[in-house]
This record gives sequence, C-alpha cells and structure tokens, in this order.
Amino acid sequence: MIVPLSHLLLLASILFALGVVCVLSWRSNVIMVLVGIEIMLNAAVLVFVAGSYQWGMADGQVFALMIIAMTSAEVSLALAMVVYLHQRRKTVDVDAFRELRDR
Amino acid sequence: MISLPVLTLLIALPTAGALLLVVMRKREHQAKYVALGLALVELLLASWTWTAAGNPAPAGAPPGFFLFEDFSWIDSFGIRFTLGMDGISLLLVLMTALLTIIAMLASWRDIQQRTVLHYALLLLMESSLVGVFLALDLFLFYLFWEMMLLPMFFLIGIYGHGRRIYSAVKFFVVTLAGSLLMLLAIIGLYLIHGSETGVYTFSFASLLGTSLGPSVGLWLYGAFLLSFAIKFPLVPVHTWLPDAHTDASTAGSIDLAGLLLKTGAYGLIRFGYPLFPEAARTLTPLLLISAVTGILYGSWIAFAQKDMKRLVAYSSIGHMGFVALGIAAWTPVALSGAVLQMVSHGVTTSALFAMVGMMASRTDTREISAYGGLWGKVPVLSSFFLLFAMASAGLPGLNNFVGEFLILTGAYPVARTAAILAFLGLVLSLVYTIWLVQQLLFQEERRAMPMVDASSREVLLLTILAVGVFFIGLHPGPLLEVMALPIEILTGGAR
Amino acid sequence: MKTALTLIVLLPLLGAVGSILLGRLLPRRVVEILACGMVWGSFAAGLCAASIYTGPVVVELGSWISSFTFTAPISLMLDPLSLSLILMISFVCGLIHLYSIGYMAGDSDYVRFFALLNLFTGAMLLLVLAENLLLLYLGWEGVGFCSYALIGFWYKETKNATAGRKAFIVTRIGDIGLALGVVWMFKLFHTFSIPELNQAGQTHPGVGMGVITALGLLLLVGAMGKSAQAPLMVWLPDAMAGPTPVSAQIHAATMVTAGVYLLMRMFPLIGVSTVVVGAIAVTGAFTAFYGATCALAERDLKRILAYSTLSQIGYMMLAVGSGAITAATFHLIVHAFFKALLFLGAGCVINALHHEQDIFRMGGLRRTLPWVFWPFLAGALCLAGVPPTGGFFSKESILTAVYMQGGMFYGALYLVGTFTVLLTVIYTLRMVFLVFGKSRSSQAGSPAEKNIPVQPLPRIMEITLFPLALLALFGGVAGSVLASFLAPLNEQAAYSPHATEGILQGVASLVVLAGIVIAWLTYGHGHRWRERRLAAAARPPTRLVAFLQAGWYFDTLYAWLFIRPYTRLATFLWQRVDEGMIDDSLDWTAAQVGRGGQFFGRWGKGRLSLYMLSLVAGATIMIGWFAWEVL
Repeated sequence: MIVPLSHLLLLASILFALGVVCVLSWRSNVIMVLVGIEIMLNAAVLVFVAGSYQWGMADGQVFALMIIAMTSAEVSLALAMVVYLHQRRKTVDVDAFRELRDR
Repeated sequence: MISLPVLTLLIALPTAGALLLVVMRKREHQAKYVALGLALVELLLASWTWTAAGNPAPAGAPPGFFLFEDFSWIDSFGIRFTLGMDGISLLLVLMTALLTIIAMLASWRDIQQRTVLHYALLLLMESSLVGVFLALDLFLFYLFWEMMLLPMFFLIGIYGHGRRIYSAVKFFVVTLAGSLLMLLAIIGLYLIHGSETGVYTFSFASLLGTSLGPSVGLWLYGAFLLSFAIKFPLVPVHTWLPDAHTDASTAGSIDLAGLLLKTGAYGLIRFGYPLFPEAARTLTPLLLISAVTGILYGSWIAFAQKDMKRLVAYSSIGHMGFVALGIAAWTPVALSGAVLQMVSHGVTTSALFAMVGMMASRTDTREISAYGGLWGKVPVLSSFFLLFAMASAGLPGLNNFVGEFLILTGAYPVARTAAILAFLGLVLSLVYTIWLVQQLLFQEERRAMPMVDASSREVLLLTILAVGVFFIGLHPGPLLEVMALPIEILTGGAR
Repeated sequence: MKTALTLIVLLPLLGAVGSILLGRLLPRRVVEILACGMVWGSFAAGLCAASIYTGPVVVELGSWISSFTFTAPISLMLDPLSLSLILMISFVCGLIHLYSIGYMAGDSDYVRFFALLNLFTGAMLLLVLAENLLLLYLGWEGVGFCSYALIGFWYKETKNATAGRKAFIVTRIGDIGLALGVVWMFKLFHTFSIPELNQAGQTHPGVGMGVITALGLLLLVGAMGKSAQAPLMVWLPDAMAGPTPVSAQIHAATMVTAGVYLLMRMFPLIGVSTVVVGAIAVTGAFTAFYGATCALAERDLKRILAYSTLSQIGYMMLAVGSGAITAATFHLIVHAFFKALLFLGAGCVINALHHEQDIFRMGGLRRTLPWVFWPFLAGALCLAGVPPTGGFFSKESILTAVYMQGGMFYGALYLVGTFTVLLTVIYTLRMVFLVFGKSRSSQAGSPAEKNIPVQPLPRIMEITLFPLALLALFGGVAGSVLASFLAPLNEQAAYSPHATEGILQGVASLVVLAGIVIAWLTYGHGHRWRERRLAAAARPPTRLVAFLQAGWYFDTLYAWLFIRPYTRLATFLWQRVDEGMIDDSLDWTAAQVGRGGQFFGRWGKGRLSLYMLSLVAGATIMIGWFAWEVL
C-alpha cells in the first residue's frame, strides 16, 4: 500500500465533511447543494477505492466506477431540473419551492 | 324476562336509534318522531328496572347492585364488559331517559337545519350517559366518559349561538385534559393491582381492595378528582361551563346541565371514594373549600349577569357546590342529600333552561334588561317560570329544598364551618333568583315584544317537570328508599 | 281529631290548588265563595277540634322525608297554644277573605289573589300546627313566599315588586338563623320533633348553657326576620305596597306573629338561658320603642299601622323575654283582632278617598264614613291601650310581667315599655284625629271638606269590621279564660300579687290618660296646635322628623353597608376574577400552547434548507453517540 489506510479514510472524511459544510453553508442555493452532494459522493468513491486497494479485491473499483456513472446521470438530471425550475421561478433558492410541504 | 340483558339494551337502544336516524336522514319529519319514540321506549325500559330494585344482588355482583351483566371483552388486558345497576344509578338512568325526552320536546321546533343529526346526537348522548352510569369496569367507564364529549361538542358547535365554536372547543379540551389524567390513573391502578396480586384487571369490584401507598394513592385519587372536578364543575376549573351553557342550543343546555354535570358527581361517589378511601379522606378539606366556594362564588356572580342563560349557568355551579359538599361530608344523610340534589337539580335546571329557550325563541334576545311584565302577557309561561325559580331558590315543598337540607344536616356534624358558610348560599341563591323573576315577570315591559303563550307541547313538557318538582319536594320517600342500600354500603353504615 | 286537624290545614291548600287550576274557568262568584268557604271550613274544623279537645295530642299523617336518621314526618300537634292560635288565624283570615271580595271588586286578577291568600292561610295553619321543626319551616317559608307574591301583587309598578323582593330577602336572612339552629339541634338531639326537643334540652348530657344560648340566639334571628324585629325590620313598612287585605292578614295578624310563635314554642328549650331571654326582651323593647317613634312622624296611613305593628310585636317579644308566654299569646290574639280591624278600616278609608294615603290630606271622615269610624275608633282605643278595652289588659299584663322580673335590667325595660305606651297613644290618636276629625279652616285638603264625593264602599267591607271591633273591645274578658287555658305553658312568669297588679294598672291608666290629653291638645278638633301641625306638615320636614320618617335611616345604612358592596362585588367577581383571572388564564394557556404548536410547526413548513440542516444535525448526533459508545 502506498499510503496507510487510515490516511485515506481521513482524507475521505475530510472530503465528506467539506461536502457537508458546502451543503450547509449554501443550503439555500440549489446548485451549491448539488455541488456539495457531488463532493460527498466523491469522498465515498475514495473510500471504496481505498478499501479495494486494502483487501486487493476488484469490488471496490467496480463500485467506484458505478458511482461515477450514476453520479453523472444524476447530476445531468438534477441540473436539467434546476434549469427548468429557474425558468419557472427565476430563482435557485431552495426554500422557494415548497409546494409539497404539510400545511 | 330475567335473561334479557336489560342494561346492555339500555345502552344499545339509543345508539341503534341514532344509526336508524342516519338511514332515515332524508325524512326529517318522521325521524323526529322515531327519535322521540325510541326515547320513550328507553324511559319505559328504565322504569321497568325500578321494579327489580328490591331484588338481592345476582351472583357475581358487588353488594347493592340488583342488576348485573358481565361479558368478556378484551381478556388479554383484563377488560370486561361489566354493567351494574344499584339504587343510585337507577335514579340517574331514569333521569337520563326522562331528560332526553324533555330535550327533544323542548327543541322540537327550534332546529330547522340538520335536524336528523341533532336528534341522532341526542340519542348518542343518552347512550353514553347511560353507559357512564352503568359501567363497572374502569376501562369501559372511561370509554363512555370520553364518548360523552363528542355528541356534546357537536351539539354546542353546530346548533349553538354566540361564540359556539370557542365554547365547544373549550369544553372539549378542558374536559379531555382532565380525563386523560384520569386515564393515566386508571392504568396506574391497573398496573399496581396487577403487580401486587398477579391479576391484571380493570374490573371495579376487583380493584376495590388494592392497597396503595399513601402518596401513590394521593396522586391517583388526585387525577380522578381533577377529572370529576372539571365535570362538576368545581371552582376553579369551572370556567368552561358558563360559555358552554350560554352558547349551546336549548337541548344542548338541558343535556349539559341536567345530565353531564351529574356524571362528575356520580364518578366521585362510585369510583373516587371507594377506590381511594384514605386519599379521599386526606383531600376532603380541599373538596370542602371548593364546594363552599362554588356555592358562594357561583351564586354571587349569578347576580351580576346580564344574560339569562349565563345566570342560570352560574346558578348551576352554585347548586352543584351543594352536591360536592354532600359528597365531601360522606355521611349517609349527606350522601342521600347529594344524590337527591343531583336528581332535583337535573329537573329544575332543565326546566329553567327550557323556559329560557322558550322565551329566547320568541323574542330573539337573552338579555334580561329587555324583558319585563311577562306575567300579564304570558301567564302560563310565567307561572311555570315562577315555580321553577322558587324551586331553584330552595323553597320548602319543592324539590331542591329536600336535597339541600339533607346535605346541610348531614354535613354539619362533620364539616361545621363549611356547612355554616353553605347556609349563606341559601340567601345568595334567593337574591339572584328573585331578581331574575322580577326583571322578567314583573315590572313594566321594557321593550315592546309580542309574545305567544305556551303551546300544548310546551305545557306538556313543563307539566312533566313541574310534577317532578312537586313529587320530589313533597314525597321524596321512594327515591330516598331506593338509594338507601347503596349509600349504606358506600359509607359503611357510618352515622 | 285526626280528621279535624287534617281538614284545618288541607282545606285552604285545596282551595289554593283549585283556584290555580280551575280559577279561570269558573265564574267569579264561585271562585270567591270557594276561597272564603275553605277558610271558614277550616275555622269550623278548628271549632270541632276545640270541642273534642281533652289535652295535648299529636297526630301523624304520613311521612315527608325519611332518610337514615333524618326523619321528618307530617305530624300535627294540638295544644293550648296552637289551638287558640288556629282559631284566631282562621277567624281573622276568614273575615279578611270576605272583605277582599269587596276590596278587589274592581281588579280582574282576582284568581291569583284568592289563590295566594288561601295558600297563605294553609301555610300559616301548617306552621302553627306543625309538630316538628322541619314542617314548621315548610309553613314558615310558605308564608314567606305568599307574602312576597302578595306584596308585589300589583307588579306593574316596579316599587311594588321591589318591596316584595326586599321582604323575601330580609326574611330569608333571618331564616338562615332558624335553619342553622334546626340543623344544629338535629346534630345534638337527633330529632326535629318539637316536644322531644323541648324535653331533651334539660336532660341532655354534654349540652351546656353556651350551646343552648347559641341555639336560642339563632332562633331569635329567625324570629327577627319573620316578625320584623330590629335589626331585620326594614321590610315591613315597604310591604305596605301590597293590597290592604294583604297588609291586614299577613303583616298584622298572622305571618309577623310567626316569629313570636316560634320563640314561644321552643321556650322550654331555650328559655333556660338568661342571655337568650334577655336578648329577646331587649329586641322586643327596642323595636317597640323604634316603631312608636317612627309612627309618630309618619304620614302614610298604612305605614303608620305598619310601624305600629312593629311596635306591638315588640311588646309580644318583650313578654316572651320576661317569661310570660300567656301575656304574649293574649296580646298576640287581641292585637290580631284590632290590627286587622285598623288595617281593614284603613282600606275602607283609602278606597273611599280614591287611594289617598297621606293622613294630612284627610279629615272629616267621621260624618262621611260613620260605619267605618266607630269600629276604627274601637280598634284605635285598643291599640292605645285605653282601659277597659282588651288592648289595655293585654299590654298591661305584659308590662306587669316585665316589672315582676325585677332587677335593673327589667326595670329599664319596664320604663321603656311604659314610655312607648305614651308614644303609642299619641300616634294612634293623632291618626284618628287627622283622618276622621274635622278641621276648622279650609286649608286642609280633604275631599270631604271640599265636598268632593267620596267613593261609595262595598257593604261587605264595612260589615266585616264589626266582629273584629267587638272581639277587640271585649277581649279583656277573654283574657282570664285564656290565662287558665294556657297555664301549662307559663312556667317562668313571676307571680304577681294583686296589689302590685292594681298599682301597675293604675300607672298604665295614668300614662294612657296623659297620652290622650297630649294628643287631644295637639291634634284635636278646634285647637290651635292642630292648625300649626297641619301647616308644618305642608312644609319640608325638620331634621328630626325626617330622621324618624326614614326609619332612623336604617334603610340607608343597609344599602351602604350591604347592598351596594354586594352588587359591586358581584360585578367585580364576575368580570375581574372569573373572567379576568381564571378564564383569561385558561385562554392564555391555550394561546401559549397554540404558539408553541406554531413554533414547532415551522419545522415542517417545506423549507428544504431546514430539512437538510436537521438531517445533518441528527446524523451527527447519532454518529457521535455511537462513536461515544464504541470508544
């Protein structure tokens, strides 16, 4: 192993935390929330890769590739929705879309 | 005949009637008569149970109960469908049946919209009230106790006037809050009894002997007492009553004042004192203070009222204070007086509310200052009103006097200060009653309001109540006799 | 005997019920005859009972209330006291019923009137015949209710209705004393029965003099209310708002004597306490004096008679307070006769003068209403206690009894009583002279002087005056008969030697004579002082006169002390306490709960940012917890 597992996990946690912070700090902005989610997903990918490297099994790499693929699809859909919502409401404020709330 | 489960029938019949009315809801005119007919059948059934009054207790029944029905229901929790009738519940069930008919007659022409629902609600009320008076399983009792709230809520909220939604919600929430505490106490009792004896049951007879530590007993009894105090109502948890009474329709007020208030007193007599004797003894001073305050405070405030119905509502607080005094004294004479006063007050206050309703429906106002000189305009109505007002003021020869005097005589040896203060209540109740009579019946006519005298339906219902007033006032023997045995058992035959 | 006693009470009650239910359907004459017939039937039954009377008897008719130890049967008791009283009551009430036929001839509301009058008679007879205190209380309150309804009979005028209300409330205050006493007695002696109570008092263990005193004082309070003694006397003058037959029957002859009767009945029990007896005497003496002084300044004919009633009942109480039950009963019966007579005569006068009631506007009626004048004069002489009328002997026997008690206390009461006799004579004759006497100048505004025709009176009103006049005048003869009849009740009166009695009678006669002279000089026909008096009456009253006319301002005192605070407190308790504090606190709690609910409700309002924050926070907490657990 090039680096100890703990380093990798630490890096992944920091990355995840950064993602959380991104979501929380800009939680009113849809695009920033999506960015934060991306970062968190990447942190998860990192953990998967680290695990596969640790135990020498290909499952982790496969899962990482799956996540990347899924994420791309998800992001494109999400951003498409964001563009659509922006066309409707002229805003990307999360709190502006509350139709599904309980009254 | 003997195998007929009369008690269950007494509860089931009005409910079945209500369902029948739902089916008939398009035919309003027939529905009213069907409802009245069912109420009459119920009255006949209840009267029939009087004939069984002298019988000894059937097998399995607690002492004093001459009718007893016990069916298994939710055995895994120890809940059984147990009903029992003794002298006290007989009188109250009879009164329920009678006053439901009176309520129906009094509102015969008043309800123009959603008529069928109104009568169905009255029948449901009757069902739940009879259930409260007959239940001998604590869970079942609680079930009927809560069941009373719903029809009354709708009766006030839909058919009332003024701030009816506010009053209905207030009534519902306040009563419910107390009842929930009682539910906790019931469950607590259930668990304690179960942990002691290994038998988990809600049956009243089984729970009777549970030994409770002093503080535990106090808390449990306190919860029961609070729930009953709200229903009585006792000061200071009485404020739902003026609003609820004033804003309800005539039938709602009759049911509320005549019957609902008695459930609190009944619960205290049937469950509160027997289940928690030591705690009840400890909290007696509290009950006495509350009772006397209710008598004096309620009657005093009644004098300041401008609205007829509110005045009668506050007078109810005063009269129920007497009942509370009688119960707090817990001697045979005082308790007899309390039960008799429950019946008398039911008759008198229903009559007063019915009459107030009659007058208000003729003139569209309940303001006292708008009336005057009714004696010349509507002599029949006025004579009845004077009669019931004098009954309310405790004139001997009429019904309230007997109960009140029994209570005072029974309470004086054990609660001297409270009884002496309660005597003042006799003056206070006269002050507001006679003021009301003067403002309404005598004096000059204040506002020109044409009025028609009583119709034959109204004369009928008022005569029934007047007969009740005179009967209880002059010949209370039969009623006192029928309640003597249960009271003796309850008070342990103490002097 | 049982039938007779039952009929005595039952007949008037049946009459009342019959009138209420059928009165409007029957012709007027039938209703009137029914009402009168019932009362006279009661009198006849009373005579029957008297004829077969051999000694005290108790008759039980049934059970009223019976619950565990609380038993109140419907029992009637006949003994000398109740026998003499029921004969008097039914006789006087019978005459007044007849009188009312004439008096109420122009009134269309006669059904209610006669029904209430009958009901009253029945209740009063029940009160007197009751064997136990609870039944007595039934009659007691029954007469109170009828009194209320009859005072306010002409209800269209507010002041009449208010007068009735005042009477009912003030007497109810007194009734509490009685009720409390009854309940206390039950606690001590476990019975309501009057004979048993009277015997138990002496022998019961653990019942000390203090308890008996308290019981007696409570009964005294009850008597004060019903018999209009100080300080609960304020209702009687206002009660004159009712029709005159009502004033005659209820407020002269019967109801107001109920209090005295109660004390006489329970005397064996409470009489052992000197405090109680003294209190009764003081109450009586003070009220006698008070009534006389107020009558002296009063202008309204009926109110003079009302104050006079207060005064005379004060004498009866004084007699009871000196232990002389016989004298009290004697005075009670004679007073009933002459006071009813005076009231009925006053009714004739008032009717004749088109409802004028101010005596300073009357005069000269001696010529115009001779059939009224002579009986009225007879009654007035009785009231004044002029020898040898019945009134003289009865009043004099009271004063003798007071004197014979001896001691400073009773000596002072004797002086008060004698002085009040003087005042009584003066106000009585003042009344007679001003109403019936002629005035020299034509300043006086009496219609007789001005030749305005006087309203003719129904014959029956005048006829009924005569039997009463005869009874009042010659009642003195009956006195000694009564004394021996009532002897068993009279254990406490001191025996008076004949010499002392003669001296006291002489003293009383002198006082009466002095009073006659004074009254004659001041108000008599043709004297200068009369003119001065009449002129003075036309001006606003002096301070002393105003004080007396306002009843020593007791009404004002009570209004300031009780009525106004009561009304203010009622509104205060309602608006500030009940609605302000209790109800508002409930509403406040509800509002707080509502706000709390709204506050927490903001969590679910659809704000995604908040959801995310909550999600992260929750996850952090959970992870932190698990981490804590693991590490």
